Amino acid sequence: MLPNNLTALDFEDIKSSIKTYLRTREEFLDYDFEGSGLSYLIDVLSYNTYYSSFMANMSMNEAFLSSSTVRDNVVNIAKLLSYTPTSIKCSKACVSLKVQTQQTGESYPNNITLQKGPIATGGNRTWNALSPVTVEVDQTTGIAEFLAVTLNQGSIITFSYLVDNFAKQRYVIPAESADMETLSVTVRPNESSTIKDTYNLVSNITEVKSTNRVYFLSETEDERYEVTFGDGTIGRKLIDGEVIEFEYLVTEGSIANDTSVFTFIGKFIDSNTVNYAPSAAKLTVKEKAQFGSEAETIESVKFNAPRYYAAQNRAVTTQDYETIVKRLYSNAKTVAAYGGDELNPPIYGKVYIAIKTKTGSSLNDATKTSLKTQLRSYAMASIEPVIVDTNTLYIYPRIFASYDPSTASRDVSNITSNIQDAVNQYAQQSEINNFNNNFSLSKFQKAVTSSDPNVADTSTQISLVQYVKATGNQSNTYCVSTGSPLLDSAPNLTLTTGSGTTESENTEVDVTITTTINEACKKEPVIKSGKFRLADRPGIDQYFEDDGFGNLVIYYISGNRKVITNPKGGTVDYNSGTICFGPVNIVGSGGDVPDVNVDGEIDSPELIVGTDFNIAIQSIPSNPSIIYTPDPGSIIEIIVPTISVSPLGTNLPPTIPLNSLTPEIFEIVPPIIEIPDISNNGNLANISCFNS
Amino acid sequence: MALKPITSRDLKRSRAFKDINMSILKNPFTKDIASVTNEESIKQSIKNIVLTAPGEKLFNPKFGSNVYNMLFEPLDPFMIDSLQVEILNTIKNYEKRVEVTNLRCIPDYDYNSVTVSLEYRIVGLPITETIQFVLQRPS
Repeated sequence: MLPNNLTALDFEDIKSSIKTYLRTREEFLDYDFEGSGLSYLIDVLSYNTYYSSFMANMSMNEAFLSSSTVRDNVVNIAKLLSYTPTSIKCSKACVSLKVQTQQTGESYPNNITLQKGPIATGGNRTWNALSPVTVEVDQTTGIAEFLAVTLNQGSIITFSYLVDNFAKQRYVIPAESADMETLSVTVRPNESSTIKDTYNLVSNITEVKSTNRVYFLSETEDERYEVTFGDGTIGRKLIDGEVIEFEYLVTEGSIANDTSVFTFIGKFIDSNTVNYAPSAAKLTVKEKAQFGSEAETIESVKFNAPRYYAAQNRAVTTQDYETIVKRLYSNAKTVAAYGGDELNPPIYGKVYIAIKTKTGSSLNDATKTSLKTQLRSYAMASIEPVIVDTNTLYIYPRIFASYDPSTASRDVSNITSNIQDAVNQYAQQSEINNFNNNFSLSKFQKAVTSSDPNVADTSTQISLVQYVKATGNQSNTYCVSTGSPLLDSAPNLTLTTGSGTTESENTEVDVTITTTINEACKKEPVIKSGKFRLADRPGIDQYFEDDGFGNLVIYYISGNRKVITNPKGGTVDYNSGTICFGPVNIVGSGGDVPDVNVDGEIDSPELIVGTDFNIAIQSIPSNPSIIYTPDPGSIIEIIVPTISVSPLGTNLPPTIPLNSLTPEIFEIVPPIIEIPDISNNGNLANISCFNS
Repeated sequence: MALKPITSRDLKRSRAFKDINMSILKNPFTKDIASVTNEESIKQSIKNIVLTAPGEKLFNPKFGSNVYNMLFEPLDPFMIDSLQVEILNTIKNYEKRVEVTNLRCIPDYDYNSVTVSLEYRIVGLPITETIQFVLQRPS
């Protein structure tokens, strides 16, 4: 009889399999006694089998991208897919410098140069300029101003190789934490020469000629990168005796992020070759240190490499766009691409790409145009890529939990923090802040209920928060959509005649009078806005809410009364969740209000033109069980929940937050549950300071 | 008439024991590995257990006895007492086929060794066996 369990990988299973075999034989009987000689023999046999099967299993696992665990193996498999993992990235800060130059022969120098190398210290680290920066000197005052100098954390290292084609040479960057974005490769004809050729990185060989000065980059053992040069057919081949010089930054990555205090230690030289001490410069920090990140993780390589390969350097499917955009724009945290035909109404011939950035800010027009131009070379001829801003739908959960005081062994704050942790875990596991991910209340509540053994009951109120981005001093109608139906607070009430008496625009009507006219028509609002200012009353904070019958009512608060200024300030489609506010002329929102003179008019209306104002809108969904993203370019974020804990026996509030909408607390975008990204690389492209 | 002494061979057994001989000898008749049976097999097992140090048996780190480690302690009556307890406990835990009826550890101060003399009864059989071995620090 053959051993019955050939798939066993565990020592005990293998041993049991051998014993089962011996049971069918008569030669030996003592296999069940641990002290017997046979037991020792079985142990050795099992151990040998276990070792072999472990090795075989390990080897096979490491041969495939999806199951390999050792970084060098993952990277090697990714190399076959033409994928180079991103290296550690240095933290970058932006500063401005002001230098008072000295006169030579009663005239100031024409220009002054900030020399390359270490220029600042901050957070016990050194910060460098990677190239010299030259600015003109004001000939009247002698002051030279460097408006935006990028500081790169780390140490600039140079390393050279002498080319010897006879020996099989590998040009490896001899540092684990070298930022490959800062790598500069130059080649000198011989050791004594000072002439340098700069070589450029290429990843696509289709346009590389035999004489192009190019190099290829790949990751090799121990997180080090290897530079490969052309072979004379694809790129220029190096000749014996040439000297390759690498210059790169060895950095500490994300540890240096958030450094905001710097001391200048750089050197200047002006056009009259006068040197200046560091004390001659005044440094002002414009952007604190950011964008430092660690090398791409194994998980990230495993995720990105096959997708990068599937895209094949061309954008055909929406997934191709997502992969290529991530490659082109490393500040993209998540990307969603969708055809215009998915929109309502459909727009054919366009593919829309929504990008959620790592910094959280929207892309500026220059970045959008640049990305669009770059994407054109990948896209099919008839398809036009369009970069759009990401819409964010915030979900605001208010969690009410009760606990049993007789069993609660810990204090209430522990329960609260456990619930908070559970919510964070739910958000991470469901990757709620990715495109096309929906919010499921049942899963959310399951996480909350099982967060702490002392939690007896929970009740969760769900409301939605969105922002209207209004342009200042322009009459517009602004629409947002929750993508799901909104609650009807009193479905049995219908609009009856008599309410028309209050419906003239811009007529002030005391709401107390209105309700006495038609008490039957009063519905509790399910949409409420944060405060804003309109051009007709720039000195008064106004709000809007819905009347339950498809209209937005604009009002202000006078004492303890609501004074309606426009009973039809917009429309609501409760079935589709579309809220249209306007036409209105917004001149302020939240705490961002214009100066008003004694006549009640705006002091400088021209300053408001073109200003964007965010107006918070809070609404109650009809079905909070599952909340979908309104459109493919939207994402859901969970606002850090408000958690109330009370002893068992206290009545928990209802799950529908009627009468308890609080849009005023969202006038500033609230803190959301942060979900760490699998690869955290930064980019400077959307911060103007770094672009200049 | 003289009575024939009763040995284990004369008893009807409910179960037989058969193990490989730890000397790894060849059976001259079958050309196969030599085996030990019944009480000899148990005797060999007891010796194996006592002389196995914990961690020596694969994936069973608690198996065995600490007697070898104890040999590095000063040879005095307290150590002999501990040695006896250790051997008794080990056999009680890992060899369920026997009940120890007598254990003597006799130190030999001149040769730094301990002679262990163990008398035990095989459970279920009216047979008493003895085993004797010398514990000595490996030189």
